[in-house]
Amino acid sequence: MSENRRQILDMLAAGKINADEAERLLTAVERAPDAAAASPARRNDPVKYLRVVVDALDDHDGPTKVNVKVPMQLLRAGVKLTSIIPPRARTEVNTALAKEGIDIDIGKLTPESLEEIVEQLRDLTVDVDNERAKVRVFCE
Amino acid sequence: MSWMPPLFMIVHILPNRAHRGLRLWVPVFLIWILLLPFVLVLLPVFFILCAVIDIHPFRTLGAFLQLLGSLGGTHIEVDNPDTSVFIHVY
Repeated sequence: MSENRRQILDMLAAGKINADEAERLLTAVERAPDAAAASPARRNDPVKYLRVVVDALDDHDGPTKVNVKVPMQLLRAGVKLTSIIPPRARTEVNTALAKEGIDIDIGKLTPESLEEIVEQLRDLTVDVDNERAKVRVFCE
Repeated sequence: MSWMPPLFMIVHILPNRAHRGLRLWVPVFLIWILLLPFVLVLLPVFFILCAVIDIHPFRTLGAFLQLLGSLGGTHIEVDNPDTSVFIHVY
């Protein structure tokens, strides 16, 4: 018997929770390992696409649907292009970014740091929903 | 990371529902084959240009090939009552 299950039964025996509450807790404990088992697999899957889905209603054009799927590899390759920027131009870009409050050195973008950025994008979801348009940006 | 440039592309452009519009299955690999002789001829010019602007020619070529190679899987779909556009890169 698992520790969680024993604790729930102890709480029931001590009268701290009633039978219904105990049943709900036991069900939750049974489901938890399944979710935990499913989650790491999903986590290990690489992020493959950036998706943009727009469902809008325009006065002139009527209902418009947009569905764009951009491969993450394209983002990775795009960032790698920064490594071929000439040193002189790189300094100018860094200065311009610093002026805008973005204090990064584009020459130091490594594949590892790029992977970290892509990994963080996994949890990114942008949802805009109003009467005329629904916009959803997410990674899959 | 794939170094293989896209081989095929499907392009559907339907100006309005009444017409059949344009439905193309584009063999992109033929474009690469046609461009290859020009690329070979222009390669020395590219190397000279890289030397002038102080960038690494092989790294630049690699980055460009990677960019081309990662286009596969791109999908664009726009649909409204007047126009419908569908592009998929394989």
